[in-house]
Amino acid sequence: MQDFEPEVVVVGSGAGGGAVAWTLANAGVKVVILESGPEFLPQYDYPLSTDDWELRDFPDQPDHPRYTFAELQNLDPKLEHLLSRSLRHGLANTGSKRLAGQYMHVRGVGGSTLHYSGEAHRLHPDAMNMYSRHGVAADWPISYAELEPYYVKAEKLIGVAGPDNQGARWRSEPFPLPPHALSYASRAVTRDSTFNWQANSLGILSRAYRNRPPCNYCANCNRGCPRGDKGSVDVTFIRSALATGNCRIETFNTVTEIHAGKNDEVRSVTVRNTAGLTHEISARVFVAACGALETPRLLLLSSIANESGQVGKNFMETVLWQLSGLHKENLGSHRGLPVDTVCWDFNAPHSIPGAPGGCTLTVATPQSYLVGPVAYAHRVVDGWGRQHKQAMREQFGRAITIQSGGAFLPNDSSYIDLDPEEKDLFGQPLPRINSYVDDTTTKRLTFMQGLCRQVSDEAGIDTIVEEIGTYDQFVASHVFGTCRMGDSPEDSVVDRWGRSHRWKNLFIADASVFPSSGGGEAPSLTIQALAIRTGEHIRDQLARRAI
Amino acid sequence: MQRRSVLKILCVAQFLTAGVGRAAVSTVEGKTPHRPNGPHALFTVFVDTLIPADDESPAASELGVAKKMLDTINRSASLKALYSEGLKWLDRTAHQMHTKNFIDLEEPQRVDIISLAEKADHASVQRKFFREMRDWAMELYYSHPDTWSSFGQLHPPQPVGYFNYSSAPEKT
Ligand SMILES: Cc1cc2nc3c(=O)[nH]c(=O)nc-3n(C[C@H](O)[C@H](O)[C@H](O)COP(=O)(O)OP(=O)(O)OC[C@H]3O[C@@H](n4cnc5c(N)ncnc54)[C@H](O)[C@@H]3O)c2cc1C
Ligand code: SF4
Repeated sequence: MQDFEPEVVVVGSGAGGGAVAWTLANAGVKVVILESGPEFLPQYDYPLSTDDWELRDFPDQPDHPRYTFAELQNLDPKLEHLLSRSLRHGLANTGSKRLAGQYMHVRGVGGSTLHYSGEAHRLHPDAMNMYSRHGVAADWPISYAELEPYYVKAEKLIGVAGPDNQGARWRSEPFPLPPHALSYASRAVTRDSTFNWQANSLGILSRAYRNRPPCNYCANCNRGCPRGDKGSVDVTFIRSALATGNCRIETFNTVTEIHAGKNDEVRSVTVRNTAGLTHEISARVFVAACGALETPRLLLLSSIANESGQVGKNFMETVLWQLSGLHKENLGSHRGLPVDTVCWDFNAPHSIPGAPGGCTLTVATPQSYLVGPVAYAHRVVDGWGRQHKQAMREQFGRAITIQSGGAFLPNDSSYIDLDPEEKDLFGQPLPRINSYVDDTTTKRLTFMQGLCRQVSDEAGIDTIVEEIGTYDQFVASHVFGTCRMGDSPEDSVVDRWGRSHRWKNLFIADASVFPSSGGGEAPSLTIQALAIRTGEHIRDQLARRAI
Repeated sequence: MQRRSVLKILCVAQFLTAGVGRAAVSTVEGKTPHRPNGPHALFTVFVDTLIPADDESPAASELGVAKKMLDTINRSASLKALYSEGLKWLDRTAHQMHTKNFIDLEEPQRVDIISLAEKADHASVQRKFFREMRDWAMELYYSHPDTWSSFGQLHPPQPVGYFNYSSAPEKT
């Protein structure tokens, strides 16, 4: 880095970090991205052409725990209907407490988008006013109209494919690419549904776009896309940022502390790599984009930007119900896209009686990994011996997964703090997940379960093989809220531009700034739109020498 | 790949902890086609009873499933312990029921014995042995391309993908 003096240091290269770095580099600002994980090489690291492809998941295997859980809540016998179960394995959780499952994420260039399904959603405009309309969560300090032009920029860079109209989420320009055709399986499932279904908007190319090939519908995005048509941040924002010559990325470099300087400005960050080297990097601006667990952790470790006491608070997690069953017909459901079909009928925040915050419905068979015979032998077709072989032949291609994702409202018992005992590789406390599923969430989950069952009935699914939810087990791929954005320094961590209320040159650009979760929308596009907006603000401030 | 990581993939992807299968017993006549011999013959016969040959696809041993499992078992003390306890149980039960070694039984008799293991108490060694070996053998068997022709259009996802994904699957 000796020959490269960064003006801006971005910590983390995921959805938010990649987008902010691209915006700045594109504007001629010198940026360095510090990323604690590796760079993955799609052709080499995601071997979907080998015979044993089904035995591999996305290759990010933590060599050291990255977070811990505080004790989770007791399960309520009255909510037995929300227990996850499968025909083959019975109950997923036979204990009396909620299980500490997983925060699904990736460390590496591109962050968790490397593992993602490519859903590219705008937030429902009403989901940004949850406090003023429903008295819950917090209002966003900006409106949908203010964010809309940044959605357009993100969609263009990624090459989002989507339908002409998505109802309440109005658009000033069409999607850059036409929608993907629905799979045969999704058409069969939604044909007789009473709900309204349409092609999902996806950051997956329906046509060749900006030197990237179109998708070939292999159905395995979650194992990592070796073709580069999935719009993960490494092949979109970061590739474009590096091409400007204004951006450098340093992998295996973990920021362990942010240092305060004079005049309410941050001076530098401490960076440590896995070889044990430590150094300090100074710059004019610092952007934390480590995700909704690691960003609050870094701030807490550095004792910075927590004047409101809100760092780590307002933690929001994934609320999910997933039903998998067998259709009467072989639909070849192992082909296509992870989540190609969506229904927005219940997505507006008022849609669920007694539980503000909406939900989405999708057909998500490949996302549930039911795409190969190993998964069928494990999860769908019980038994063994000759009959099992016959049943495998009869049932392969018939599995269908219907999924509903819903809003999570912040509550006092859901937050991230520092584990008092467990440490990371560098001897620093791990982030600890404190999570509580409250009554509104269980009401919403019950409603979501009902929707999935209705779709399943209407689709002629004759055997339900699994129903899985997030009530009895913490499993989250969408996490938000732990450095809330707001106008008041009293109850938020950053302002409407993502800037710390106190520290003039410290910004946050990731999922932790969300004041509310949305009603089951996939968050990356919103993270990216916000990050581009933050990046443009930093660019303007630097140009005016206001920072 | 280590055994544990394979299980993790399937559990994590689906939020499922390792569970217990329902009883579904195969009751078909016939013998294992190739009677294996050698020190691991008993294990091979057991695995081939879980996944026998039929008109459309080979037995597990023909695809080297038992051998691959043994290679891993030999490298893990805990798997080795489970393996020997499980095999001991099979032979002991075969003697109690038929006064023969497991390997010398007809297929329906072997099926009956494995079904007992499948239905045994969760904490019992025979149940653990059955569950672990069944899932593992299935994993190795169905990740072998020689088993895929009976599933119609199935191939590794790349490099060709499924451009025909929006049409009905071709009949096999
Ligand atoms: C299986 C799966 C499927 C998903 N599907 C979708 C989908 O279809 N659509 C969608 O919109 N979203 C999806 N998501 C969620 C989406 O990927 C995340 O919400 C999004 O990537 C979060 O962005 P982020 O910038 O907050 O954090 P991340 O993308 O997680 O990036 C954080 C980065 O910061 C790095 N980092 C952390 N701490 C440090 C440090 N101290 N120093 C240096 N670097 C650090 C990490 O290594 C990581 O690379 C999915 C997620 C998963 C796991
Ligand atoms: S379905 Fe398309 S985007 Fe997904 S991994 Fe396959 S080729 Fe890539």
